[in-house]
Amino acid sequence: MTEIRAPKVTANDTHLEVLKFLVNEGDRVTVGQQLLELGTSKASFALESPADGFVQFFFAKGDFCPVGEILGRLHEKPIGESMNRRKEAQVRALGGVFQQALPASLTVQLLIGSRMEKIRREGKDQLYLLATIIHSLVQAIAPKPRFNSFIKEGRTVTRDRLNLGFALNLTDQLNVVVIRDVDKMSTEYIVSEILRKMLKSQQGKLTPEDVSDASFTVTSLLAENIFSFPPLLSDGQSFALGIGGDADLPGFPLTLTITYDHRIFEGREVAAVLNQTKTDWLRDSRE
Amino acid sequence: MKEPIAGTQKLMDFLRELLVRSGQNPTFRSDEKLFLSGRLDSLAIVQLIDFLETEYSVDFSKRLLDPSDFESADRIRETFLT
Repeated sequence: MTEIRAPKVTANDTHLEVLKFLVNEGDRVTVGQQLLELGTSKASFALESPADGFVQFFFAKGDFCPVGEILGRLHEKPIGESMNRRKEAQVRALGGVFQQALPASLTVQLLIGSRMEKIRREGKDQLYLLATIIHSLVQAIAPKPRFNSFIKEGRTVTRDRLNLGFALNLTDQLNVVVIRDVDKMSTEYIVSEILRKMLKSQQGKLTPEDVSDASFTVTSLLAENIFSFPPLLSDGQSFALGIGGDADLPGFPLTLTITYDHRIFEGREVAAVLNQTKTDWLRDSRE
Repeated sequence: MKEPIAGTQKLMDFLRELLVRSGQNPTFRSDEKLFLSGRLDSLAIVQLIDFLETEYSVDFSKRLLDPSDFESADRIRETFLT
């Protein structure tokens, strides 16, 4: 078995984008054959096979692979399983059923006391805090199409637009309002759109368009001082973010919990997104 | 409390009502930053927008909804009612 690693191409690029597969997974390839097209910040190039063998890939189109990371493997014998079938075997091994979501959760924690004081000094409230977290999360997932995918009838479907679902509980009924193309919005615009949807919800004017086709859902129980909770996964989504925290505890700890569909993600991919969200938010909200 | 300018008495009354609804003392100054002080929250902003649309025909459809525009009675008047 031979590993296919992401090569170091430039001094600055730490990741390479998977642009296009030039062979199918499971194909028999020969040394020197072009396997896939990778992109740096400046150009794209075709990666050649380092050996003969049956090819297996670990990344999907649109993913960013760290330089030096294993992109795939070349096997001496036919691998016989597609990515989904490989994942299906993993899910079964974990006791799940591939036709149903297999939810798992990961949490990171951060202290936001001084940053929350800064937000309040600027005349903003908890909604603005939530919007800044959503903005950081969206920046982390926007380059990763898998975070905009879900499994339908055994096939992975990827949306073209990244749409935020935001759970509102203004009346007796819980609504998840949808804000489309959230990856193209500033924090201020996200705040504005959430307020607009809250208004429509309160006025009873939400349309099907306002509540459908969310890529993921964000639920906050910060106002209830719930420290941490695993959010529910909705149909047609592969992950959900739950924002919790306790303002009465020293330093105001805040938790970000992602529930994800284990049929689509490995835990480490979700962990990377959570940690990037945390790091980016801490950097962007620095005093 | 400053005397409200003509035609904005309804606004002052509504802000008082919002404070009462959220369990607050209904007394406030017209320049008091009700959100900065934590006396009102985003839900109150939504109720204020609804109120301004209904009572003063303010059109919010093409406007960025910025919570700081609602921070005090004076700011609301300057931004939406003059």
